[in-house]
Amino acid sequence: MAQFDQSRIRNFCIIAHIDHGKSTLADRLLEKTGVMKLRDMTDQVLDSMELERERGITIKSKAVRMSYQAPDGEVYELNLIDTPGHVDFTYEVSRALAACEGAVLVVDASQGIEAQTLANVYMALDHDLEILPVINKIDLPSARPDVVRHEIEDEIGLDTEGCPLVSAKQGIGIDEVLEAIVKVVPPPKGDVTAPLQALIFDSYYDNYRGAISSVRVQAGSVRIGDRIRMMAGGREFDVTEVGAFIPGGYFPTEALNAGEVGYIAASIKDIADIRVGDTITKADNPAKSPLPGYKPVLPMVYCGIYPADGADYESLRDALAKLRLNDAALSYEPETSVALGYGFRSGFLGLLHMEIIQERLEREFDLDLVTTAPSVVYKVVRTNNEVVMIDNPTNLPPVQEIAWMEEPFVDAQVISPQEYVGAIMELCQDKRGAFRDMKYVEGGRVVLHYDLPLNEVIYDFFDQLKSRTRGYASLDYELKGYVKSDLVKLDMLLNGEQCDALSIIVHRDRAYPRGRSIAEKLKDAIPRQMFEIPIQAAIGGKVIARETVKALRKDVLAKCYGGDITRKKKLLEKQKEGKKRMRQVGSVAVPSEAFMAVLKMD
Amino acid sequence: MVNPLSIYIHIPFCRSKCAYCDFASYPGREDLWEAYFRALFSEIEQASDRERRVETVFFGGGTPSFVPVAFIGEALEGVAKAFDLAPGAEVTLEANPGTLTPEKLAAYRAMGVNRLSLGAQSFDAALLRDVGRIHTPEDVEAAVRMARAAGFENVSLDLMYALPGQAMNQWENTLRRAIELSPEHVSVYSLIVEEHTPIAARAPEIPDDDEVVEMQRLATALLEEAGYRRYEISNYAREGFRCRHNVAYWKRAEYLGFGAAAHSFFSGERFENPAGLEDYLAGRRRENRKRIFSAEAEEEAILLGTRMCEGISLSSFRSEFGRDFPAGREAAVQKLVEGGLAVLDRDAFFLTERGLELQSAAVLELL
Repeated sequence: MAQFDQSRIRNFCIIAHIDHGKSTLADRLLEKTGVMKLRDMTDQVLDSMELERERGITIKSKAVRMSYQAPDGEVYELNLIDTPGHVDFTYEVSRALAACEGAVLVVDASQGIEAQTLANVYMALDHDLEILPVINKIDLPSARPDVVRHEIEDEIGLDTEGCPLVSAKQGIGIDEVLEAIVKVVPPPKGDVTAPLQALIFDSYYDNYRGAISSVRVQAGSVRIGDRIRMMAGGREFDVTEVGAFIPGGYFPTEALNAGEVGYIAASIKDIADIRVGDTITKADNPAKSPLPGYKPVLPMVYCGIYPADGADYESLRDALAKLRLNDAALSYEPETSVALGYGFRSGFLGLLHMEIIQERLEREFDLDLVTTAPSVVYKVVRTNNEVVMIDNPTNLPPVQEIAWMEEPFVDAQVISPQEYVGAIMELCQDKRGAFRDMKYVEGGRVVLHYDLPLNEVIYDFFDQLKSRTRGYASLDYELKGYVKSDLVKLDMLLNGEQCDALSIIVHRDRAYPRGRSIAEKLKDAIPRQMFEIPIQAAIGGKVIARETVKALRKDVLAKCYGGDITRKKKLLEKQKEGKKRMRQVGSVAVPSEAFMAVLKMD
Repeated sequence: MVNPLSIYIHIPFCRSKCAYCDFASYPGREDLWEAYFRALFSEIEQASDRERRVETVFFGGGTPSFVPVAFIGEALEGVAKAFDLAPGAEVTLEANPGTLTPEKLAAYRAMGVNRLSLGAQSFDAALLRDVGRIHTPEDVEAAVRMARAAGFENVSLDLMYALPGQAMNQWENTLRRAIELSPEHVSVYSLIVEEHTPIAARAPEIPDDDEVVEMQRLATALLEEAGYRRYEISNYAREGFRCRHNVAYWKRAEYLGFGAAAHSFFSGERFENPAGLEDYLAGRRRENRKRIFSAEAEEEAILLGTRMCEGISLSSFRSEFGRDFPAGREAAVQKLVEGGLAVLDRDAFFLTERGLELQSAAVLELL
């Protein structure tokens, strides 16, 4: 192996608003540098999770090494750290950024700067990254690279002199991007002879190698046979392999040196021994102090996850534990519901994160789930001044014990073409938003700032925004703080019995329409039964909406079967199966889908 | 004392399939009659148990009255030879009104058939034609007259409601004309559109649930007014004329079925003969054998017992299963009773008229 030379290393990530072509550009870079032979290429090679490919989004960050032969004859080691684009996964992005010196900012030549473009840029600047703007999709007829170039200069203040104009799809401008990375992104620093400090920014489980750490070595070096120590975790292991990830596999190397990005395997059986954000050092020559880690992430949205069949509780627990291993943002703890039995209250970064976890549980672990309506975390101040945080409406103290309640607000940034300003303002108003400011930017677009209650954002804000702006507006938000609010608990009663899994906390002004809409949806979701079922929405015992599921008219086999009772039994078995999938709320059988009905928008 | 046995004999032949029929019946296979009956007779012979008292025999189909009377006679003789056929045994033959003659009826009577079950279905000629029946309303009236003349004192009529396009007044007319004929017994079945039947392919417009319930209620009202007591979801009889054979099914008594597609419940096992003629003629018998253990037996007792108006006898339940009826189903029983769907008294648990309309749902609740 060639002499290690820090000056030939470039660690970078690609940041972009969703759909601006980040994954396609990554594919082209890999293809161009010869890491991948063309025949091995599937679209979006970095997105290996089935779900990621299907949805065209990146969920997990990954690091891939490329070898680039520059026109000056030098060979550079390029480490690309892929990052998720959706607002829910900001946390993963921030972890990935800490491993880089530079960021390639992809901007769509027709769409221009979007909310997440800005959010990602600010985050990159926070991490002192050099930013290399790249204008993508120049092959589209609607492309306006000059306008976008101005936007980048005026809005972000980046120099666009020599900014590569690219069509990742057509393979145009890829060489320019590679060359610009080498020129713009600074090589890493770090003393190879100092004690080892390697920051863990992700972890994986490999059936042969055990738990693997993705690391950025900040100082020192690590090689096979070294005894390493987790500085926060305290446990020690013997290194069995170090190297870099290449698409679809491992590329073992002799050592990982300061400035490099790669992986460390050390026969670690329990992935819980690897803590993302921890620093790896050597046992015989430890670093004095660990690297600054990551802020622990706070889930923003909670919901109850229950197995559709109570017998699957253990499998659900194991599945959540496995997902938790490489998704620090997922949290869960056991809870019980009268209606749903044993399950877990789970915390997520946002609705997309929640949806993805649910889908992964169902697909990768083959589980049938019942989930309850998502809730944010409310702050409740009791009359005795005690403060409690409530993530499950069922746990809300009785009204007479509540002095006041507060709900989380976010600082939301919406970027949209001018003509939708009216519609957006109306929507934000509807959602109890407080206007902060509005700025006109290049290309006839506006940037709007609103303070919005998070519980409105997680309900249907995003869908509404998209539909009212024909998909043109983009949204980014971050948690701002808690604000006192007139909140009530909305309960649903089935045949007079309260169903805990259907309760939600809403603003008083929203309670009536929400109650009515949930009652209507339950009416459609609950099949007719032997008796009429009144469905009521109530606040503190006062009924505010009512629907009725009529009784079954008939359910009987009036046919001659003679001695053949097998048909009757078969029918009965089928009905029994159906009954198993129902939850018993008092005397009412409620199908699993009904609990999701509360989630559905009008 | 050994429990009485019932015997079912399946005749899988008819002149033509009715549009709704999904039973094992093969029109146009006269070539196989001889072979079929040989096989049937030998099946009966092989099951022989002279000690076993037979209380009911039932010839069902298909159309038992479609095949030569001699076959029926020989089958009945076979039963009498193989088992201890009780002198007062109920011997029923299903007959299509379009296939009967005074001579045939006299022959049946002579060989020991004492109950005639006539597939009348409707007294509306157009509806009969529409569902592919081969007879007219007048044939039904003639059949009943001929049966009486031949000496039949126990005649039952099968009627069907919920036929495509059937109006309430047509159904009322059918009920009234059936009652005028003064049969001892009436069965009232709802048309069930089964998959893979010609009627299903037509995507017929059948009356909705509301009308169907009204049709059933009208049947009960008119029949009870005329002196017929409902004793099961679909069956009405004058005093002393319940179908003992069917009651045996519902009470989970033992029965042996002979012929293609015939089902049996014998020695704690349920089994059946293959429905296909070729399979039956190839000697395949008693398939899908399944021993019914007590948990399933209890479920059967509930599934079948609640079909009858007298319901589940608490004392028989106790003597059969060794525990008292609700037996862990107290909540469900309470829910049904409080909702007016069932009654639990000192002797029995039974469904009310409303409960019978929801019998499947009620059973599901109880299991």
